[in-house]
Amino acid sequence: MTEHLNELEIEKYIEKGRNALSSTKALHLEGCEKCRKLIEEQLQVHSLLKKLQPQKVAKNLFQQMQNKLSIMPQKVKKDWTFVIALILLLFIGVSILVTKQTPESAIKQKQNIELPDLLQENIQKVNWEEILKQTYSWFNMYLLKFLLENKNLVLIFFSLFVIMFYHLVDKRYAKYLFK
Amino acid sequence: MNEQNLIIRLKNGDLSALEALMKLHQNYVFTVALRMVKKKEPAEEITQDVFIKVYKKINSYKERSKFTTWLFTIVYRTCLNYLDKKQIVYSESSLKSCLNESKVDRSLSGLQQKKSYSPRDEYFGQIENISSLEFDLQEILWKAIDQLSYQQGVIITLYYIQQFSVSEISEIMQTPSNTIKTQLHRGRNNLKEVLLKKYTLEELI
Repeated sequence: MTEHLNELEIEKYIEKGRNALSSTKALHLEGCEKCRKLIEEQLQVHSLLKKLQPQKVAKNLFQQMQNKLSIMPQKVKKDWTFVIALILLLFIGVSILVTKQTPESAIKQKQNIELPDLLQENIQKVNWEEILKQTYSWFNMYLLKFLLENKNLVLIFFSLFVIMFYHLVDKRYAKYLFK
Repeated sequence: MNEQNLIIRLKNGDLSALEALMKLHQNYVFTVALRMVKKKEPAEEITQDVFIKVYKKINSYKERSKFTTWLFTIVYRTCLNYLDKKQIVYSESSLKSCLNESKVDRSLSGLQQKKSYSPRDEYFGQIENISSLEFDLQEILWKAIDQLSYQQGVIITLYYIQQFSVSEISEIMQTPSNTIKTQLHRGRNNLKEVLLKKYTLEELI
């Protein structure tokens, strides 16, 4: 006589039926009253348990939970408007810069490029201190000129800064500001 | 409303979707929590906590498994945390001895001796009077299930109420499938022993 059915084999029988057993075990089952009784009892409890219904919870559970949620800090949702605004502003900024470059200014630029060669030839004769002073004053002058000539661009970068600052404040402190 | 749509809406922060999901699952969540903590108030508290966690962590649900599998993993872990916090310790040794016992009486006495506090104590008094209660099959079955170890109780609840497969229960409880099958088998056996004290199985069926 073969061994009795073990727990896993009985479980297999209950889940999938007689066909789930190997032929030796199926043969054993036919001749073993003990195993048949075990399976029968398991099947009885199984069919009883199939009648189980979930227990019911208090109806106002969601309302109670909402109160809990309102005490908790609100979720800060991912806001893509910032990224879109950034890309848009950069695009506008670059577009303005590109359209401002007239053919004349392009020629001027070309002439300026030749300047380092001249400097190279006379490099020994140059008064560096004087050049630095000159450069500094040129820089200031050109910066001022640039700012005055490109008011729109300045405005755009200022807006960009404001948006970034707002985003930073909103992300960190929104939960305190907008309770 | 389709559960999938509700999940999408919840991912967008829609609280009404959470309410709808709660309506669908709260009784099941509560039933499983009750099997583990054995008391109504903490089980309700856990049910709320579970749905708060669902609301907060819904974006981490990646739809690789069923939503209910993900949900009941949260339920199981929340209950375990609760039991840990309350120091309702079912020590490894007491559990093993409980699981190895074939007689439910012996396993129950083992648990009673080794636990510092048992929330099931309040049920022991009631179970004695079960015959004096109205013949309510549901009540009888639930009270009998509450006499099993919480693992067996949870496995039976997930298998028969939520109709999870053995592999899904194994995923939820992070336990090998064969252990789940064995526990299911022993759980039914223990349940039979509890029920046979007062009734015949034919009478209940």
